[in-house]
Amino acid sequence: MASNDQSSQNDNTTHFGYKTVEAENKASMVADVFHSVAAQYDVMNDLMSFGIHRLWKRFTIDASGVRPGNKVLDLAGGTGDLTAKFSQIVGKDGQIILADINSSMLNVGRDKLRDRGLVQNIEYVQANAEFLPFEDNTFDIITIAFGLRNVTDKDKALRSMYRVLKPGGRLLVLEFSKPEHEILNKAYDFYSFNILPKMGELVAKDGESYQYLAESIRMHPDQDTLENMMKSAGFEQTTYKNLTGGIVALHKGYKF
Amino acid sequence: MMNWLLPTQMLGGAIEAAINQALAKNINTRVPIEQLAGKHLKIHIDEIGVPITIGFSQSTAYVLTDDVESDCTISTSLKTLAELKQSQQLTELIKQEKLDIQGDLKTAQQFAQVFEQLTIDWQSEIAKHIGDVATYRLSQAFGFVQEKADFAKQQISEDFSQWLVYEKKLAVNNVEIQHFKNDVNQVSQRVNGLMQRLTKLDQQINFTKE
Repeated sequence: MASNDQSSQNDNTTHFGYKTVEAENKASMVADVFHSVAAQYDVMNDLMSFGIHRLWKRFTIDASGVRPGNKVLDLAGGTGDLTAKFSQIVGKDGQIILADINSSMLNVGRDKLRDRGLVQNIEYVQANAEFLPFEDNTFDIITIAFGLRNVTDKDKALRSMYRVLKPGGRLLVLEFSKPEHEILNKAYDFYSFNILPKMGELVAKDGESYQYLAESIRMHPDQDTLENMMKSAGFEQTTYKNLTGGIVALHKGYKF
Repeated sequence: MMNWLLPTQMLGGAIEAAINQALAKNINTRVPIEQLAGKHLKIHIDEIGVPITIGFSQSTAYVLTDDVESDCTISTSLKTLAELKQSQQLTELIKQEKLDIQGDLKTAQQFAQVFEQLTIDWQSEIAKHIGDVATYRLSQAFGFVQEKADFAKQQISEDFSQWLVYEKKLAVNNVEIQHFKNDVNQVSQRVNGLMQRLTKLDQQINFTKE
């Protein structure tokens, strides 16, 4: 599989689901998808994953080794599920930055967290993962959950994350991946391409966005490819753990 | 297949939800939750096998199932954990080696104190869902059933005694015990009388010899 979206194409094109589009247009096309689904994002996540996305995120928190006082960047943090938990754990001496390229998602996340009374240690930043607006060596932990596959240039984004991590810091990438067993793969394909867009149509009134979701998952690098991409960006001691049969994988790497 | 459902994370989530529900429904305003802010209690339970770390932030609990640093670590079993509800029992359980505590003992006591003081008004909670009248009737029905259950328990206990005494003859009744006691008393009195007569006879024999 390609090491990034662009290497299998010419220099100016990339994937948008199964479509090939101009690289400079992808960010705005992805933005349109998430502007469209932002309001129903949490409901759809629960429906599509039967609630298991909460367990995947909980696993990520456990694997992050987060401690009170840590500074955490929740990249592509969307509606703030990871941020909420991190905020509790790092306490008043720590800090969480919830960053997302999409203003609609960021607004939904900010409203949700404020409604839950989580205000003391959270900041909100609208940022592109490829050009993180932070100084070098800033964060103890960076997480990106279900966001990397939407990034136009993943290698560039990984290098950007590496730059802003402190030495000793770690990156956790939670993302859809390739199921380990062929039977599961086929069942998953059927579910993704036949049921998921219909669910999107019914609940979020937007079947096309969920068609993109299914396609973007298939176009995302598999477990080993993503691990190699992390190594190429400079990360060390990289590992990954398949969750729910490889439907999702959690990649982890350190900066030393 | 079970691993696909991440049972450890599921357990952590369930414990966290249960604690937060209990905190939300607590009516005792003097529960000292604020003293637990920033503190972590790790519990190793033999039967579960993974460490469970409980922390509090802004009066809300969170649970981690990772081996994180904590202020206090408790290693115990599920059975002993149930006894921990009363913080006074901590010392006794440690003495009995049912409980091992590493770190700050005060933290363990503070957590125990919070859980001990949580008070939930179940009638009010149920009334929110089914209404006051239904709750009143339900609690009356519950009281009635409880009363009947207590009566049935007492009856069964009495019937079992009767069965042991009269049917199986494996035990004796109160009258028989009383008769036995009377018989023992009578034998005791006769032995005392006999002892006195023997003493008298002994004195007479000694007097004749002199």
